[in-house]
Amino acid sequence: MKQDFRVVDHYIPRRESMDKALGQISYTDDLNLPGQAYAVVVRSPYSSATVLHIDVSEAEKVPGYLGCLLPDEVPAALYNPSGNPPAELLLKDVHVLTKEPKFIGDRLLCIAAETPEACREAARLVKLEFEINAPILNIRDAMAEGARQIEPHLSDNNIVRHRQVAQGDVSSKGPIVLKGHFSTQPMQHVPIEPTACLCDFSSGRELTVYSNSQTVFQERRIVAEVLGLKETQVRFIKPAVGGGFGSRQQLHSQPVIALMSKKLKRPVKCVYTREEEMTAVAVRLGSEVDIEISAEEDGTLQSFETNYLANIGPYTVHGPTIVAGASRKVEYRIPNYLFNGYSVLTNDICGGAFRGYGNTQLSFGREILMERMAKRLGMDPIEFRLKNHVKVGECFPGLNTPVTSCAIEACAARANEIRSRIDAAEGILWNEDVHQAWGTAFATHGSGPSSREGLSSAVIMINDDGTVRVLVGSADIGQGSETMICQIVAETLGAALEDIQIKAADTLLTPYDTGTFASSQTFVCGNAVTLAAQDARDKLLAQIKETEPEADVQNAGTGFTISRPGTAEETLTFREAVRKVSFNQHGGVIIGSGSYKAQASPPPFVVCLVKAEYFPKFNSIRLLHIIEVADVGTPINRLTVEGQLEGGIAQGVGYALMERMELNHLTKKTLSTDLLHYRIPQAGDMPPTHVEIVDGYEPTGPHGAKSVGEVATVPVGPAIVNAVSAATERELNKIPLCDEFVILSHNAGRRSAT
Amino acid sequence: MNHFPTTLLDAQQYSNATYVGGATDLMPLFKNNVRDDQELVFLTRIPELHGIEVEGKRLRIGAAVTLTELAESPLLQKHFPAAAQAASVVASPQIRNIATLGGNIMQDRRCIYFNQSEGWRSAIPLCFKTGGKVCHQIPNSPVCRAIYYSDAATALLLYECEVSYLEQGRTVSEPLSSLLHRHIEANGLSCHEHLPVIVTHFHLPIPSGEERSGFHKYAMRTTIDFPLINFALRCGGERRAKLIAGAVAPEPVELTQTAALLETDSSDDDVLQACVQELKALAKPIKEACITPPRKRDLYLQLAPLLELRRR
Amino acid sequence: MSMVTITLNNVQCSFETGPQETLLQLLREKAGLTGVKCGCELGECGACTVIYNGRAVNSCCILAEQAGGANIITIEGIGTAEHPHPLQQAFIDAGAIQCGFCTPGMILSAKALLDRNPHPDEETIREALSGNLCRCTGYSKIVEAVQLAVSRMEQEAQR
Repeated sequence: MKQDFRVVDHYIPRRESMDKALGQISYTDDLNLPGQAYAVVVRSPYSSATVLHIDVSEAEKVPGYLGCLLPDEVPAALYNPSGNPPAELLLKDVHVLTKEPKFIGDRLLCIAAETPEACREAARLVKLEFEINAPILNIRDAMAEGARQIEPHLSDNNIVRHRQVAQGDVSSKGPIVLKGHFSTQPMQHVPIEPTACLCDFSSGRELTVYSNSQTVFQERRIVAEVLGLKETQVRFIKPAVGGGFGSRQQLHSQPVIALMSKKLKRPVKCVYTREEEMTAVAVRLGSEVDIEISAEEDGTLQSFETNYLANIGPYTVHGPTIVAGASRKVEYRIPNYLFNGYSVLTNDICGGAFRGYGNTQLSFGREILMERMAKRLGMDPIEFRLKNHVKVGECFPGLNTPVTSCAIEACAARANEIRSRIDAAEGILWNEDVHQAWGTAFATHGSGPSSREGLSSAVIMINDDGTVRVLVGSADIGQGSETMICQIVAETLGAALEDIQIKAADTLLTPYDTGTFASSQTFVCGNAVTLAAQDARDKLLAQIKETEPEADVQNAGTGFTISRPGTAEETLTFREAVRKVSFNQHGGVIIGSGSYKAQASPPPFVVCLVKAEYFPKFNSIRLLHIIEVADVGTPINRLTVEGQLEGGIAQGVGYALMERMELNHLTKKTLSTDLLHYRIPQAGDMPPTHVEIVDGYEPTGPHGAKSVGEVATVPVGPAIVNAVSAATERELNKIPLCDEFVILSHNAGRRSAT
Repeated sequence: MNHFPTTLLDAQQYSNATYVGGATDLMPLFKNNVRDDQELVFLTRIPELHGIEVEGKRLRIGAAVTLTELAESPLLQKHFPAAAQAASVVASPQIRNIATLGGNIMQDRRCIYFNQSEGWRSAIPLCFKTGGKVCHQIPNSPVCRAIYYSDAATALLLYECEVSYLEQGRTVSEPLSSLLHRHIEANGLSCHEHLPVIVTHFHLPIPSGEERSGFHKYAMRTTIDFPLINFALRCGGERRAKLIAGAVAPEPVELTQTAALLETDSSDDDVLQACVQELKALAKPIKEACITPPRKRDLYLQLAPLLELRRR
Repeated sequence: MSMVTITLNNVQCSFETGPQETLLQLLREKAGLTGVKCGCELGECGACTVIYNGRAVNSCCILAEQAGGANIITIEGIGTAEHPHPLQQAFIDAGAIQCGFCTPGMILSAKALLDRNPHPDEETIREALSGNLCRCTGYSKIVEAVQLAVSRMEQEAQR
């Protein structure tokens, strides 16, 4: 149940924000090692080709040139760069360097030099001869009869995996049946910090990697495997990271840069150009999704059937796992459910993890159809969804883990109140010149991998002055997990927040964590940290008892009471207690530890409402308001949770309106190589956003918490499309909407032109 | 080498010079290796290229005036609001603080096949602008079809702007449209063929009477983006009404038929339809990022906000 | 190579530089001011924003030699942990900082705005910050932070 908390459930500025505000925190590119060289990766300009010849003779003449690595010089073993823990779905098909590039980001060779400028100059002088293949750039072509096989060792039809989830019988339909075909585009993460790594393998025995990493332990494991090392020989350290969103949930160039370091016997740094960030980093999978839903006249959903095709690019990476994830995120009570998901290989930009992880694509069509079904039934779109929404104790279709907390009704009620307030102030215009309308979408996700493979651990060491050191493997990539973990420790331990020190995501110093993905940190790592803090607290209590064998020692609030026979009760603060045991003859050092293997992945819930306007004469649309009300259980840090919701909305706005890795048909590859060709929203483009957190409590979560990261983005696309659909009175089935409408930035045209 | 002359005389002493203002247009082109100009001559330290001054019945604007200075100029806002408005929406605030009017006018035309890295472009043959013999946009075109995206040019052309420049020691003053035409032609060739001119000043005749004018840019986002279309319009004064559209062709286009309707009783809708028809004839669309041909045509209606100027 | 002299965070400094070196490279690599971030090197993201003769600019689009004689303020020059600039404190308090990579440039764009216009409305703030991309926050808390700094600076001025 909801409680009053001392440290969690508050607005807490994050611990490292002063360093960030001062420009004093170090990201990977801010680190330098003595004797460091620089490297660049030369990539394929073609979506599909074979390298016939590599000539580096001109590159060698560049002053400062140090050397190159060619495909034949590096281990030939295939690997899967996904930062997920080992699993059957992670098929191996990626090379360290390849002579058969299958998309334009593929690594062909690596060049090192004394300076970044010399590297780039040398790289452009490398002469490459190719035999060019006709690339397969979309799902339809990949699945066509006789299509060239992109990974022949994995699949003979370019479908690398088919996933089916079935419940009931979808031929048993309600009388009202709606269906649609929905398309979503590949989308790039665009963290503002470019991908980077600094590798020191100069000894040839021990490798240290500093890189923007979401999953240091998985990356250590894969790199050790690829390079034939023991995990003790590989150390991954995550410096400050300038955004992830999934983009650093797969290895990038660390293996080849490590090998370059070994070859040069010098530390080597590699920082991506923005073009590499756009074309060589994994994207959100494009999708083609057919959905059919049916309902009774009274609005009870009867069936949901989907055929879900995901464009995973040329390598497996996360593809099949993403498709599997999509199958587990349907939040309605549907007796007859059939999910058929296919991971389809293409020569498009390689796909990978991105906030929403497959759920985004399925929820897109699902929530559009739900809106249409409500309209068809003459029901309020929120009431229709609530009527069919799973309740506590019920399971999502195809799953057997019951939902343990759900405050969706409170979310809907609060979202409606905010909408009423906006409409009372501004009205809803509908005339010849402008049509304004609202659209709705609901969303859910997991808290940690829905496969329940989340695992985390923590060590808590208490210093003799009562301050606390926390060691966790989980990576703060800008989302604020370190502050959140410190809050949980302080709350559980009874210590002051400012006394908690944290060390995270360094494989030498911190204990194992599956990684920062799947909105795991609060729930999975948070539970491990809670266990460790409880362990430390229990040990502290036991130690006090050892020092006071005659007394009755009890927990009391954040401190302790000691009742000795015949004397008045003594009260010790946490600090006093620590000091007592640290320097007592019978004292000891308090080290708590905890490990949590996810037993569940409790879903958070969001209700999203969007108000949009349409100008029929100009075929233009503008977003006016976006509301998100969320049930995240206990929000450990309200400031962070609100920030996640607002940031998730902005990514959803870009996705719905204008972001796309745009294919160019002449060059048969993307033209979205920089931040002008690819447009993410700016401060002036965002409509007013209204985010709120309702009271919720997840019994299996740390202090009642579940996740927020991914769920924030999921409903935004369909809610925008539903609003625009209502305003335009047109059925819309695909994004980005810039294909159909002139997009008006929120601020555009608001100032008079005269 | 970079040179920073402080007099126009000094500025003319370099051979193979590329004259630049803030160089903000060139920097990304260097990064992409589409240009390799070796002798950059910065004109920003020449005092006489600064300043916005009334000179008789004309306003004289130094070529090295930044776009921010233009946007903030009370003189410009008063007499040439379209020019001030245009300057206020070029690129981003950061770029406007460095970029100059001269540089904006002499900017490179842009195209999705040209504004790419050398590696990206290595998959296609050289185009006219990179020294080849084809336009990837329109393969049977005998010339480059890259679009000229200057916001400032659209506005300056509205006002019968004259430009002064130095070319091979000679001072030339001529209508801006003439220099633009030459610049744009040369700019469709390999980058080494750029015009060796030092733009010094722009002269705008100060309108008398009640002339009203304004500028409107459509871009998908608030800032940074080049226009997907822009318009500059004037009416209500002693001079004839005039309408210029930019970002639709290799050169800004004047919409004379539409302009002729501005001061008649025609409804705004009629004017807009005339604008659409005229642009359909004059626009030379190419493939651009993030916008489809039908949506680009929708943008021909973005003249609408400026039609407020028809009413006093 | 040539020498370039700039006033950097109120201290006159001279650096050896080459014709193609950008101000961004000079600030990060020679002056050691790594608070200046490199996000795109194309003038498109604003992470490298510095204040240049009182105005926000992209340091990646200015050559080091071009900056000769200029007065340049970086994030390192506007506050310390003991005495942060009101904008720095407001960004912290309002939760405007997530990954932090856009933060130095964002704060400097905001400072350049407030130095000229101490009482901007929301639309003006949003326009002034639109050259600085942020992928984490959705900008709401950044705008709130600037407004918070404005109100704190107004209160301070009234004292």
